[in-house]
Amino acid sequence: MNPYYFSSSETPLYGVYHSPAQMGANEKAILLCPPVGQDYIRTHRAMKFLADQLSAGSCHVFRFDYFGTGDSSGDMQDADITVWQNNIREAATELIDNSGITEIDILAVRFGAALAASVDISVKRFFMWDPVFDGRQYVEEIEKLHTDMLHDNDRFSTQQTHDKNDGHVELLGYMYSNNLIDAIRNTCPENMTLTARQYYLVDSADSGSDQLMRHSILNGINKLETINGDMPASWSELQNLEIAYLPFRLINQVKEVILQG
Amino acid sequence: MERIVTLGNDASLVGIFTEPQADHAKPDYCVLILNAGMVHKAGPFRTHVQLARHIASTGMAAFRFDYSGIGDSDGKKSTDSFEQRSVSEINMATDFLQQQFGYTKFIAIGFCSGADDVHRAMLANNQIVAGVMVDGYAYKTARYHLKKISEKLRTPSSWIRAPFRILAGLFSGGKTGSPAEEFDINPNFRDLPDKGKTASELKTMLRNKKMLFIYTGGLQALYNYESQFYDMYGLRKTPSLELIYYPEADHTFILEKHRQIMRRDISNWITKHAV
Repeated sequence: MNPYYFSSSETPLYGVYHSPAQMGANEKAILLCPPVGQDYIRTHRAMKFLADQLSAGSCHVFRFDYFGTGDSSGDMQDADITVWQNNIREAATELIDNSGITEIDILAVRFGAALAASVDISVKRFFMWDPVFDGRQYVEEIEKLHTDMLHDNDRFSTQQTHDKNDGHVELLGYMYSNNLIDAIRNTCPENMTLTARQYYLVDSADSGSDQLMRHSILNGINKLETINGDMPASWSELQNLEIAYLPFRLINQVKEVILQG
Repeated sequence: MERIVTLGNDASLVGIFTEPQADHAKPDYCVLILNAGMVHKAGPFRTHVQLARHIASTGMAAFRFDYSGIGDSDGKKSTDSFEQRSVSEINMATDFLQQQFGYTKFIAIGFCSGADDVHRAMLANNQIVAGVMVDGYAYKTARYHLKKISEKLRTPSSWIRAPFRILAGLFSGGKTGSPAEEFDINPNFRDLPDKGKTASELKTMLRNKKMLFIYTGGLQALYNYESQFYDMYGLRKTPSLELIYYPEADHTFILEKHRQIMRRDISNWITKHAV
């Protein structure tokens, strides 16, 4: 495992390359695109665990943090969707350079799936994990969670108010610029370039909130398989806001498909 | 500017060193920011990133890293308990920072279980000269119980409300097995030591170390009035010991306005009292 900064020296991005334990004809390369906001924290451990599992086999793995998130440079409030999309392109280039494999796979989680699906890079297999396709509904969900959180007597001993910030919105621990929130809201299938050769929908047990939009986008995809998990992710439940999402059985299922394909 | 560093015998521990900005006011000192529960080195809501950068802007270096089995650091199969291993890895970090950058004095900051780690590390490591413990050990006092009873009499509905969730539990996976179990980290690892032992250790450390204790309203099930800390241990404010209480803030500082105040207060205390 090799952590290093990539992209520009002014705005370095934190990336981790996991080289495969087994080299040979069956080598693969996969880019892990994380979600954003609190979903990122909840899934961080799962992504590291998956990367370790895959690289213990024949898979090159690259995972990274978008600008203004995790251990990358910048502040979330200065981030925008175009920057994050470009981060995915740069991360894909890092994976290709590290692995020497030009036909890469992508596994992207939650809003990371919407970001990755709107980037015009050549992808062999695209694994979408509880993808967010309906940006408006996604923003409504985190706005509601934020309001519920402010009124959560288990969290706060005094009444909290939803503070107005000039040009920014605070949602579940993170500051988003108004432009970023508008761009997330406008995320829809029409903005996505679905050109991978094969798609996999990785579903936690309760990922049904985005069904309508999901059908509209997935109906246009010929080669789609679903990998179903048996553990709920509870993305929209306040009591799970700070609980790590670690569906080991589903991670193992995904690992098997990635390594065997 | 930030640098990724790896340390430990097999370079399996990953950390981020934040260089002090141009005016390197305190060249001997470096601030360590320890893992909060199972959250990786960025911290809950990126609190540790923001805090490290803020401290660096005041002219002091900061280092945040992942213990083995947490975040980006690989897990180790070891017979040592998590408590032993965390102290050992904090010692590795201070050794590394001395060898690599020449720092000889350290200030450790920890939130929740990280505060417990600060306490243990300060006992074991003479180079850690000051510590900031946020929602660390808390013991109920007579006044705590009186206040609780008076609140319950005023608001009967609170009888049926569980008011506190421990961070360690929040960040554990729990349902189908987790890396916490795999790496021998008890997800509910906030065992409260005997109060007399804790008090005795604090008094020993206060002879030559400085400490800032911060408590939040998020810990209301264990800590519900400002001066409870002093009552718990029979201590009082001294030049080496300071207490700050944020009744409005939650345990994980989810709101930026609370994080801003916390960053400012920790940084001011370090600058004015710890060094």
